[in-house]
Amino acid sequence: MHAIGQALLPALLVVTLVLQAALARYRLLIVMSGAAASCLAASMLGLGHAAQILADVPWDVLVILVGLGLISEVFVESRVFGVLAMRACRWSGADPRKIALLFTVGMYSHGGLVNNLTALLLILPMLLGLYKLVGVTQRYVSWSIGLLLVACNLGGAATPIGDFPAVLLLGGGKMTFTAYLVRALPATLVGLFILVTLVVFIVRPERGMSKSPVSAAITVDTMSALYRNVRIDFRMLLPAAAALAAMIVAWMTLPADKGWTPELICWIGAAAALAIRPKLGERLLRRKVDMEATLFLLGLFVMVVAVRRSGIFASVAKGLVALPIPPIAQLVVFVIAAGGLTAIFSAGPSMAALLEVADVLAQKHPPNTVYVGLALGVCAGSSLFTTAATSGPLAQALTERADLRDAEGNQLRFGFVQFLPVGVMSFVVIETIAVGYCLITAR
Amino acid sequence: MSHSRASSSAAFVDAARVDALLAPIVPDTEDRAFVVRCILGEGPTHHRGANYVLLMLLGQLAPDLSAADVDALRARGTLPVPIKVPPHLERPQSLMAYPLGLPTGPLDALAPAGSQDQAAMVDCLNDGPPQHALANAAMMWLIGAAIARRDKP
Amino acid sequence: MTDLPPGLDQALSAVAGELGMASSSWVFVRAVARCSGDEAVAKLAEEVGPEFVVLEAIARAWLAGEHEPKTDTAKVIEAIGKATRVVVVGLEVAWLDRLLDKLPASVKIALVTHSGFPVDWERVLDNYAGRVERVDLDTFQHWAGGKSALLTFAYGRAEDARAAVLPLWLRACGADVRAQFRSLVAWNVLPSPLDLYPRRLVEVDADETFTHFV
Repeated sequence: MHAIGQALLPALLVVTLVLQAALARYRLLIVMSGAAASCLAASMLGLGHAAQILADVPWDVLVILVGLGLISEVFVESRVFGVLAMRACRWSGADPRKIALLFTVGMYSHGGLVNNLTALLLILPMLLGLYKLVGVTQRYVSWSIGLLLVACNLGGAATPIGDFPAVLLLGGGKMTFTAYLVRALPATLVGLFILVTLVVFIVRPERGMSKSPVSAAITVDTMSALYRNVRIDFRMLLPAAAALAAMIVAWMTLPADKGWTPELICWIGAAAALAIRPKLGERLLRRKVDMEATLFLLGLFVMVVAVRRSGIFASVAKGLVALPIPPIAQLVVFVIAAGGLTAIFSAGPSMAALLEVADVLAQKHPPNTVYVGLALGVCAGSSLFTTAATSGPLAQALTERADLRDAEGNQLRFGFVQFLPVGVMSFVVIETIAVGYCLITAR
Repeated sequence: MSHSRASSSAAFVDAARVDALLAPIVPDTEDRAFVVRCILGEGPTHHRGANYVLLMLLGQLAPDLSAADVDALRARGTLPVPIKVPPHLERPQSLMAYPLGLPTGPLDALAPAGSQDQAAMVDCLNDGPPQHALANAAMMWLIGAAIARRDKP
Repeated sequence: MTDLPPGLDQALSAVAGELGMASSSWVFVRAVARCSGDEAVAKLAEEVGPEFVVLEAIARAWLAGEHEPKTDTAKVIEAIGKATRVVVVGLEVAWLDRLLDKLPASVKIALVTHSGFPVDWERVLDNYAGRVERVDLDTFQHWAGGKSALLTFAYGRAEDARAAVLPLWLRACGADVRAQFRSLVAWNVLPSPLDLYPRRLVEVDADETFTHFV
């Protein structure tokens, strides 16, 4: 039965993931159906009933994701992101190189605090509008938006609350908030620095673009007009920022083993942030909870739990540990494999599945090294293809909708092909950093 | 007799005369301009022409209407002439009514005040497009004033 | 020879809905004049004008010596009169901002959020900090009443009383709506009639269509 389970359940997971990527407009239906099929198969094979599988779902991660998502929405309502983006445009003087640099750094910062999709949905439409004013080329669009996506991924990996993979580590109690932050943040900053240097100063996407002062003047004047009276609502921003700051302090200081678990802190913090403006809080709860992401992750977790019950992860981990290579090399193989699997299956499923393997490796290597290495490997993988993370297709759709055109009137696109050079470069850089991190810290 | 399309022209309509006629009833200049525009400036030409003719003729039955005449008639009761928007877009009646109300006093001669019959009469007078409803209301004021003058001892 | 960067038509269409065709044209003309002088403004009118006739008109006005839009609000406030609710059909921020500065806070303002251009309506309304409410073509009649006015922007008026307005005005102000608002006001934002055929506008008889044309 276990042998059948070890073949069937992973196959169900893989088929589901491939189908949901191929038929993206039915992805939720496919994932929920896959989850139901996994529960059925597990039950038939005696590996656990649905209730047992559901009990093993990391609900704490879902609570953290929903809570942080709602706090992000309060920041959105305060208009802070729009105002900052407009100021970035003004500071850049509409210089395409400075625009790319400022928005990349801004996206990295945002990505560490809000989830990737929220950050992208806020910034990208404005950036695309800016591109229409400046007048850009396909080369510039591919590299600048590509760098933006990678910065988003790096920012998400920099903090334990930035993106789902890191949240999974925090929620699962694999690492403390501080332990993750002091390790992952410097590593991602190095990655950002290298990539920005390569793209902005060597690739130079703005090459070939018109450098007319008229464009710059029109861009700055127009952006100023669009935001002429938009002000940050500090009455909304400050309480939410205070709630987030309090949550971060609580994550860093309050003992989880005394009941101050990460999801409880998040729940209380989010509730406090929403309760300060009850009308807004109620509206956000009713309309802005990302049900799509929540249901997707729920279905995914159910399938991963079912696969874990088959014992396949333990077998893979055993196989990895049994490889006739030095232990450090096993870790390197694991981190590189994490990148590769993530590129194919995307960050969510890969992280959930590989975490099971990481738990076994953590018995032979410093746990922090294993988990942060995994997070960096997943970050590398989700930066390789546009399909490796939800932000890729979103960026593609937003760019298509913007109907951006070059000087000759050709529509500018941002898709799989356009992103590939950026993706390959980012994957190599981030994966190298992940491996380097493991080599340095595993000693 | 051939049907000519004389009604396609309402060049005889003089809005200023109707404006002067309604001045005692709707003292505010802007309010009155709105009412006059709806009665004489909107809708098919033949409605505009017919409204003008009937109002001017009725005006002759109650010339030089005074504020006292109007107040006396108003004291006997008025109802708002509603601005008809789709039902789900309505606001409380007092805010979505024309500046010209419908005097109900003259209707007491036809049906008791507060009766179902009188309510039905009000509905009939208010029904239809704005140029009908407002013209009916304006005519009711003039008719009411004329009757009041006739009945004065 | 003055060279303008390519893609200015795309740039203008990106913001014409959110600022208004005339308001955005003023931004563009001023920026071009500041950077490259009147010769470049003439070139702008020549290159982008056929696609954006409002820009062409404003560029011509600039070259004739008019360097500021005429946003005096006295006549439009007089036209609005005692209305306590004003529904704005179309958007010209340079004019609307001035009007809102002058109107008392007791006058409620709504904006019909519909445009032929892509518009971030949240950003538009954020600029008014709650002073302007959002309505659409299905719901703006909720604002009808004896003390309500409709306001739109006109783009030049010819001697025969033909005026160019947004098509949105015709969608909004049908025969039914005309009798639901006490004033139908057009605020002319161009100093002279359009020279070129208004592709994104429609011509109406100003005297027949509006109660006040200022």
